[in-house]
Amino acid sequence: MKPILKSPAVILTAIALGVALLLSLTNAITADSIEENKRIKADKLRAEVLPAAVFIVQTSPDGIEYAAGTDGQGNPAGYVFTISVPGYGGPIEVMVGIGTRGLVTGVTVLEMTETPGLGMKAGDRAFLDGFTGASGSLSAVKHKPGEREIEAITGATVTSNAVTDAVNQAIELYKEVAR
Amino acid sequence: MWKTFSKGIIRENPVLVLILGTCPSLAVSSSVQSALGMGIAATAVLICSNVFISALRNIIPDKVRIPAFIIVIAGFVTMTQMIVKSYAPEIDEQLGIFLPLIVVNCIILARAEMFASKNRVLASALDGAGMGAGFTATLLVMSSIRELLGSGTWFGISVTDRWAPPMLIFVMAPGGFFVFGLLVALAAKLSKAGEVTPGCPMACPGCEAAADCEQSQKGGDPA
Repeated sequence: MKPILKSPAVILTAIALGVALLLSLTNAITADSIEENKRIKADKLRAEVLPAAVFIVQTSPDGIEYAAGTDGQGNPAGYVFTISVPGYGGPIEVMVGIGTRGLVTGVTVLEMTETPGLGMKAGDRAFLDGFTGASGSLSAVKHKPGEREIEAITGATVTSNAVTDAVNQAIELYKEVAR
Repeated sequence: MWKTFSKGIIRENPVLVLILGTCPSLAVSSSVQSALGMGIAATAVLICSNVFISALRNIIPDKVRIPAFIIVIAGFVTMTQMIVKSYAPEIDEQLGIFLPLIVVNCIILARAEMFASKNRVLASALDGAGMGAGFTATLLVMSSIRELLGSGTWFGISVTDRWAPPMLIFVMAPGGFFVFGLLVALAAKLSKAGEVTPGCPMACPGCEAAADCEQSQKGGDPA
């Protein structure tokens, strides 16, 4: 009779256990610094769109996560919202900072899969800086922008509209949260 | 010994001659930096899994060898991912989904099945290193061409974009296939893939195991 220790099931289980042990060791070593990296990255991104020293992550009554920024002495500096909108090549994740007076302080794109060279320009400062100081309901236009208008990216109307829509949603959220 | 390592670079180049790992090669070769990151990560997994599987080759029963290989490979990929996330978060961001997808990179399973499960530990380590070097070198060549022509930069440094507008198609999928095809043709020329190993009764053009085969004919261990 074949000894039970040599059966394929036992050996496969032993290999799986061995690998799991190695994995848990690696996890124990790296888990803390991965969390730390995530936090640093999130704070760095938030600081790009809102000039604030400390960010506190909160949840709105509708279950949307956002961060409230303070200047370090407890004075409120504004809010940072992360909004996901459908773009041309997939969802676009946009981070919007709004100051205490309800004006947009900065916009940045966290994730997108738009066309390189066209829609990808939505990540450029030339486009995103157009939102700074804006408030109210915005729209992307192809001519020289006036009040409440943003100059769209040439050849990327869908992407421009998507990012503008994300900023509008953030402004709406701000009105709910800051009340 | 040297041949065990060097065959992966041109003669049995995993991407250009064995045509394995095509998906990550096309996906990450639009920039040199991500190509280098992918190459190093895959090489690390390849060497570790080859050594591990070779060491266990007499214990792993034939019936369950594929699940056993996949457990080992998935384990090492996850460890690599944790280490990259922990010490080089920028590379993790660039590679995105393609880092965990090293698990299904055919090069790694193919080397486990074709080489590591039949050879000694040292030879398997060399085979992994050689295949990894071939994979990394291919990615570097591919990404250099694509980034230079497609973005006018190399490793993020501006090169040609002052005097020539970049040809966007090279960083997109069609350009990737175009460069890939040219390199496959070049590797076929260099590796003489059309020729048959002398004395081999199986006249298979572009034989994948040519290097091992020649050595076994001399009567030696392929190691």
